[in-house]
Amino acid sequence: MWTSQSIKTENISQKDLENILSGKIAALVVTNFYSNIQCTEIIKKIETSKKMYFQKSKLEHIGPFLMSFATRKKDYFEKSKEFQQISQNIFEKIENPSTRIFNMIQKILPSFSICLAEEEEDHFSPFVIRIHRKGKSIPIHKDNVKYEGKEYTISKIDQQLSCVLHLQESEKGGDVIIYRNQWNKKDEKYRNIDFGYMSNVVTKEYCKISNINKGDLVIINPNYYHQVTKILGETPRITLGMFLGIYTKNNKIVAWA
Amino acid sequence: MTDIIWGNGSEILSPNCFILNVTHRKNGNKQSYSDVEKIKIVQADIPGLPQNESEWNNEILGKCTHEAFLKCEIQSRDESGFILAKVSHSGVGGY
Repeated sequence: MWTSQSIKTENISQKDLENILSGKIAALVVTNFYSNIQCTEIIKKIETSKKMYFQKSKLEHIGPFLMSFATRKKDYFEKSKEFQQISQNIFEKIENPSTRIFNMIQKILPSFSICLAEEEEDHFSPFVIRIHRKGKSIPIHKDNVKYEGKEYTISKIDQQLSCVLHLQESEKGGDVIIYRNQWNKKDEKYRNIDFGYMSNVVTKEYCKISNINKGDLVIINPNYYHQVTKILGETPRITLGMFLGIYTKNNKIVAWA
Repeated sequence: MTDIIWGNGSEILSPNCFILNVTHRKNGNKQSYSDVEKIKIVQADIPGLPQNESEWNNEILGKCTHEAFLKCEIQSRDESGFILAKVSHSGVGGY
């Protein structure tokens, strides 16, 4: 059986990260990464922040994410710059999640440097906030910047991790499912037109994480197919996501969204 | 309305032509398209493919299109059966 592992921030070790990267475990759920009170404060700020929409309003978010700018690098970096002020406003009184995640990783991997990804003079977007309302779901997909981010320097990373902070859960639905199947290029024949993949790419071996609480940070290897089930409650599911790219030989980690 | 087909890039025929294994067709296409079509690129929006067409060659086109999922917005079909199309990456496989 393929399972996730719940853990407290102070107990995470290098071995835990290795277990995610190798697929030994499906996910690491870092419990209470932010407190309930902090999440509520962040949500209040999010509610009044300017939203953006992806794929004809199917997906609502704050802040740009690289995959929607696969061949529009200039636009991506402009939007990332615009987002700086918005993110500073949201995290005016609460520790920025980039800082908190970087500090956590730095303690686990002290020989690695970690910073926001840069390309020439431009900074990548540090994270993206996604708002999924009732009826929305995220189809089966993978995230692999080495394949889809070819226009960007971060496509040269060796390994990729996904970090998703759960700020608000819906009453029902919105469960994360991670399949024990990694993407490979041959799967491109099973692509859906707009987004994600047909179910042919996955088998029946999967891990469903349905006990994620507000404030938990979920870390996965995003090259394993994953999806989010339909949101069934009235309360929107709100998450904050970023990727970490690992340059193994250079002992360097960069973050982006 | 422009006819659109989607599919995966296969064999490279020249620096701007390749075979597409067609997997999807737009509902309402005016013409019919077979499961394998020869595509001549008239405009491109493909990750990794230089904007300047003079920099294209078989190897670069192969790296960017082989097995990749591509969208072809069709302009016309020439006398030799090639489809002239704007070729782009189609949406994203990730988020």
